[in-house]
Amino acid sequence: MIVLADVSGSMLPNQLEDKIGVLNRCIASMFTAFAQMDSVQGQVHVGAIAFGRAEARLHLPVGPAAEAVWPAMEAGGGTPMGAAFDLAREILDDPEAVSGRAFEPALILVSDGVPTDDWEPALNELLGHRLGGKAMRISVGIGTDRTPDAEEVLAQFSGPEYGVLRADQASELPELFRWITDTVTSTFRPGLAAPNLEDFDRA
Amino acid sequence: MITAHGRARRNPPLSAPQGPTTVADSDGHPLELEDRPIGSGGQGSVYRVRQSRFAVKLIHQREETEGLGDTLAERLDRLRWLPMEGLPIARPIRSLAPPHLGYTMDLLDDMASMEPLCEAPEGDLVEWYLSGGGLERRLRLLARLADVLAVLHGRGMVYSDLSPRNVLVSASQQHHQVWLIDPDNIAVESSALGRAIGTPRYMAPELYDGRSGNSQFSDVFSLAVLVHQALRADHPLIGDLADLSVENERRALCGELPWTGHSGDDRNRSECGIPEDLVLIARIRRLLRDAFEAGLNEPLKRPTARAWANALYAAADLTLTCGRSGCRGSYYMLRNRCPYCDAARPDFALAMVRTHLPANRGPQGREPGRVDSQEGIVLLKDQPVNATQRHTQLITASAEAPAARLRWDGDDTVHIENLGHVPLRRVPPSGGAGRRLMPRSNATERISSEWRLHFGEDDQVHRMLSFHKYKAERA
Repeated sequence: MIVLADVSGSMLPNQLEDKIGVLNRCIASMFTAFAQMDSVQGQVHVGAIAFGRAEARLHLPVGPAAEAVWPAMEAGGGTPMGAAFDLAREILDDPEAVSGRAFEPALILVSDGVPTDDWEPALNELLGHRLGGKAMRISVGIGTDRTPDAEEVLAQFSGPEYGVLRADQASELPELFRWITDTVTSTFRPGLAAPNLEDFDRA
Repeated sequence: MITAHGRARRNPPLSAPQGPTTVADSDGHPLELEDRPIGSGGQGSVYRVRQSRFAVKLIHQREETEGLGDTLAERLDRLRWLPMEGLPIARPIRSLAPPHLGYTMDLLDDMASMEPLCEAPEGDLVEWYLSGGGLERRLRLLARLADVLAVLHGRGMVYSDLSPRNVLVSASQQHHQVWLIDPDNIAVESSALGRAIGTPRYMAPELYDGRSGNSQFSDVFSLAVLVHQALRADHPLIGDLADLSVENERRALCGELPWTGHSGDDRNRSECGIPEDLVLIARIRRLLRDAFEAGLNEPLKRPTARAWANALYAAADLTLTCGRSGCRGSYYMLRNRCPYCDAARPDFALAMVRTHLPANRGPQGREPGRVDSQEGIVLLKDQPVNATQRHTQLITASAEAPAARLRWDGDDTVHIENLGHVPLRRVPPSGGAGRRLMPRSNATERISSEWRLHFGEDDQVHRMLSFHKYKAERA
């Protein structure tokens, strides 16, 4: 799972909320949950790209969630999302990061604004990529002040399966990431066996 | 049988101050007040105006002593500009004429203070718990309260002084509405940070010593205390150690002692309250631990109001009511017998909530996948229950908007009515598109045929319900 996180200036803490702080905590706790997953099916490998100021950079190299230590991201500057898409594609091509035996990757885009670079060709290339096209792609929009343009980018990234998940305020993010975590970590069940009632009280 | 007792009170509860019997509003209209307040906060009390749909908030203290930096008139004016549409919060209408300080506000009929549901009596608790509507009603009221707070927070506001005394709830046990009656401390978060308002025992530790002002994080601390008080009938910080002296109690409230349920520190356990395995479920235990362990002195680590609303609603859906006539107990369907009267659990059906992942779009690979949740809806014979948006959508705009009415006949048949605006799909075990159920139409299906109800198309991530029967244990 690769998180593409917006760390532009609009994510900076203000008197109303601390978007970047909440995002840091959400991602860290999601990775912790992955690390605690049953390892029978294998391990979840996680990585993160932060895009802000004038560049997208590898914030956390892809590796097993159990070994990941989340360094807090800091916010500032523009929203170079196209550069983040390019970097994501490079990671998917890197056999060190994504082995040939790995499950299809999941990409999570978290943003609160309009890209400040030329994102469309970069997104087209990412979606045309052999793994990028098949990846489970989730986009999370933060804040109520997103413009239709910003919404459009998020919608194009995620495709129709998930649509754009909205967190009107940073305070909605934890529940959203909890859902993403549940989805990714749950045991896949082909059948619909009657549930054990005790499972409803499982810690 | 359960024995549970409430903590002895150090001081007898204060009797409510005797208010005036008549006040006048700013237009000079006389308003005759009921004798006892229906609620109160740190700064005032609310009295119903006799034979009307209005109430009056009377402010106790003089403005200058409150340290809020603005006058009542300014505060009321500012409230008009806050985005409170659609929220069940009383709004000020008119100021009171001198010498009284306060305002009139609208009030729903048949609402009563939440305080009797949260403040446990000394001595035996079981009768008190059941007469207040037991576990299910408490969960539903708390969920609704958390939901309102989540919307308020979502709009960038803080409530500031959340306590059972300024929450009204439906007087009828069949209804689960809440009504907040302390609007004058609502503020946008940035302006709330400069002050610390609250009701003792419900305030976050950082407010006591002035480390911080009111925030969404102090609101959710108050909410967590209220949840613990209502469900467990005991204060989460005032255990047997905190209860030893006034000084210990102060230290506990300031976050200097472990909470009563601490995972590694037994010093402040509590002998009082309703046993936790009777009223808590894993998801709520986890939130309580996050609120009072990691979040005790680290406000950012406290669960959000939305997390509370989701967990409380989900817990309420897993409760059932005892079938024995005369027993008012409700309990989680995990138990085989009623903990209050020992009757066997009634037969029930469970609508299990799962997430559908389209083929090629999930961790499962090329087949469509399903992800279990810890959510489900208990159906008792011939008692219709609505599935709402929180069951049918991943992210809900309106958690309690009805989506489908479900009724189980006690045997093998489930009746469904589509209460939403989009078609639903009834899909057989072999898969495929299934049969559509259009808005406002009905259908019946047999549980044994293993059909399921889908709330989205096959190529989209969406939620679905599958149905299962559970028989009572025969003694």
